[in-house]
Amino acid sequence: MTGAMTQMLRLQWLASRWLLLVLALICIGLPQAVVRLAVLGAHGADRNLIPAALLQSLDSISVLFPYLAAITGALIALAAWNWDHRTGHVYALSLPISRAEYALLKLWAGAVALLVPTVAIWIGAWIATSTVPIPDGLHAYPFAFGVRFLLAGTIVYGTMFALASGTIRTTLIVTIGWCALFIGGSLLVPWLESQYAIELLSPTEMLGHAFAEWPGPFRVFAGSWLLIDV
Amino acid sequence: MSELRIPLVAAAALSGAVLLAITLPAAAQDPRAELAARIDSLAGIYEAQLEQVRVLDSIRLARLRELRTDTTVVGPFVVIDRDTVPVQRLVDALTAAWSRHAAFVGHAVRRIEGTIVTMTLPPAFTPAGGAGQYRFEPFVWGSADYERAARHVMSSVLTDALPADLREWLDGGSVLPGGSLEWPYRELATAHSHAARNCFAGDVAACIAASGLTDPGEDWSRWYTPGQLRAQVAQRSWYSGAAGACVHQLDDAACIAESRRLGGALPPLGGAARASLLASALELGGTGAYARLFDDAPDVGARLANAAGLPLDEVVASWREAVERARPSIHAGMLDAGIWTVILLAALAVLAMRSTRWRLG
Amino acid sequence: MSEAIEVRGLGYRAGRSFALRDVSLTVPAGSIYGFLGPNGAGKTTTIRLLLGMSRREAGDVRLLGRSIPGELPAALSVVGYVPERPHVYPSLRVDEAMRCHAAFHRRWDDAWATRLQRMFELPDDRRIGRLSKGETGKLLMLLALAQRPELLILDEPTDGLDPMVRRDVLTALLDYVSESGATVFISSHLVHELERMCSWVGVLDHGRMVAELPIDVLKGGIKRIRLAEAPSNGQQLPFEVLSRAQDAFASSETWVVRGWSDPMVQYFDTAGATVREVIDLDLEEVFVELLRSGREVTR
Repeated sequence: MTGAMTQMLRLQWLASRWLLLVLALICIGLPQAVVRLAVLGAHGADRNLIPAALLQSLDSISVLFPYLAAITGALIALAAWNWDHRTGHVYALSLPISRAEYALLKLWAGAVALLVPTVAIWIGAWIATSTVPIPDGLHAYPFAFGVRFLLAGTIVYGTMFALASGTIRTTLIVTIGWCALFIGGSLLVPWLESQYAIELLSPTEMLGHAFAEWPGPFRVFAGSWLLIDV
Repeated sequence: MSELRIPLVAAAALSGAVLLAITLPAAAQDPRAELAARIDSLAGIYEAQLEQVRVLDSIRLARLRELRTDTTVVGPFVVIDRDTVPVQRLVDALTAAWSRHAAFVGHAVRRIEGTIVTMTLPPAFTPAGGAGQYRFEPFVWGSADYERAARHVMSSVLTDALPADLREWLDGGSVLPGGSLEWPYRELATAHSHAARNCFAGDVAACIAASGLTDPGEDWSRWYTPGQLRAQVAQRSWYSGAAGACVHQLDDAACIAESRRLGGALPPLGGAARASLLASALELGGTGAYARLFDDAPDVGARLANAAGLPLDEVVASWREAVERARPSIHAGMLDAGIWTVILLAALAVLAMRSTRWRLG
Repeated sequence: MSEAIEVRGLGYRAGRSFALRDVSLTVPAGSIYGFLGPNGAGKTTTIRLLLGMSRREAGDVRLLGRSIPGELPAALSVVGYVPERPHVYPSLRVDEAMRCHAAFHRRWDDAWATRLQRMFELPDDRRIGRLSKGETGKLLMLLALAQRPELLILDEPTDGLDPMVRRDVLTALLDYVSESGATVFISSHLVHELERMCSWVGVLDHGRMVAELPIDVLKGGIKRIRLAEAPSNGQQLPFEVLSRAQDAFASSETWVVRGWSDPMVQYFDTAGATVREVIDLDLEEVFVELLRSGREVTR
């Protein structure tokens, strides 16, 4: 099985190396850009960094990071299945392992691939925060930031991986189902509210709640993505 | 929506005034006098509109009182119960909150007696707010929201009833013991002021100064270095006149002049930090602490000391230590998130493993 | 175990127009089984059902005694498969594809794989997507053979290949079979190619098995006979008439019959007919006649 794991890792690498390279470059570069931009905008008229302004600037630009984590996870998951989709899964199905084993090997290989941008963003964050002056009372958190990126990336990776592992039919059913739920819900909820004078949650609000409030995995997206904080 | 109406009317009227001022013909003989007259007349219109809004609100309040089908009394609060809105959970949450805070309110309860709390449905059923009335939309997320709402009612009511000088000092902050000190920590840690930095480092006198409990007059050097004062001017002013000289020519005297023109420099610690200091004083004072805030006192600091039953520097020192302990953790929730991620990934892995091998049609 | 493949009552439907109905076949161990059928007969679908790639609607499949799909991984570990179209990831290089395949097959013979690679002149560093059709065919055969399978399932392995490549591929296949005694299940519509190597033949048409028997029986038992004064229809015959036609420029008829043996000439003597000629058919002609008769029956 070790040989199969190694080969699956190799396949994942071959299938996504250019993607990983681009993601790694972005992950190294973005923290530099964000921190430097925030520092640039946080200098007071006394030429000193204003801590509150630095945090405010960082807070407004750092919204990019959860998106980057989500895009990274999604792209790596899609890259994991890309070759199989292109060859109609015939090679995978002709291998002497069960489908479940095959999916698990792929999941593992993709998760390992996710470490490349994670390490890159950690390095980027570390360089970014160690090359700018940090005012008293504030601290840099590159490692925690890297962990948050990994968790968020893993969540989206797992979701997209599960979706992409299904047949096109299953994927279509799931996608159309979600669309129907959201569009139908958005139409139905206001109607029910006006008819019965009640307050209901629309599916979109529920999703927002799942992201921001519910103590579930998506909460990691709503947490602090600041590289520098108190 | 109604709470927006007054500022909206004001904004409309004032922007109309500005627009008119801009478009006044340049050929006017005395443009300044004409502009002033125009602004005066618009201000009159604004006042009249404002009065109408107030009348409208009173009518709506009266209607609301007619609409009530039942009321539930919770301590000093009257919760209006209408068929269409589920209020029982708010009543329960308010009861729990009041039982926690009734003791320190003490005999000052008479000051908030009869406060009306309603729950309303947006948007068509929303009645206007008014004095002594607090509105909330129904919550659907769960008990935590109702607890927050009850806490918000308590905090708003107790803050609104405070003596004027204390309310002014709070600068928009609202008070209730037991609140989180994370935001005050942020204020203290990030304030661009040497007084705040010294307070952060443990200097209680600096804390008293930074929180605006002592009047510095125009000696703002107790709060800010010249550079820090310049940074504040830069944030508050357009860069012209004294402000321009302050920011661009690094003229310290111009910075002081501009701060004076702006009504004085702002104390380094804002409303949230000050509200937490007040809450800390109430906690230290225990039973009747809130009522003692209303005792005769020369200044806000003395009111806090009265409430706490301790000298002001002890109150502030205690508050500072509590704030220092409340440093927000960047790692908060990370363990939970990690566990949830592993659980979700395992579930998704199971889903992916169950993906069919019957793929070829 | 005397059967390498056992299929009973296999049923499958794809859309409205295509279905496999009650397909049964038996491939004896050690045989080379030619799976014949015109394009669209359902050969590839049958193979995919054998390998558990599609879900059958009815029937049972056993490969080397193992039930499919229940014991699929165990069965696939001793089955070499060459699909109709290349299934290996086109972005891989030849050496990467070999290494990847080796990692999943415990019986992979590295030395033999290298020998085959040299014999097929496959460059290590060429991407599969850039190989010629012939080179791709060779690579697929290499991958299937180097895993040293007990059963080879080949779906049109030489289709579209030039004669040189076809010879190389088939030579390597036959060398392996003669050395290992492996069973080969090979589907093709190139009938004359199979004629030289197969010991058994199964014929599929429109999703139904038309015939399945040893090739010598098949070829020996089906004859074309030219008759004068041919007896009319409706008589009890000792053989099966696959087709009969009036000759264009003579008063004779030509029959294609199944189950023929030489003593049956006497039947025509007693029926007042004269057998002018008994002609042996090659496999292609047999195949065509079987298809024609099969279609007339279903019509």
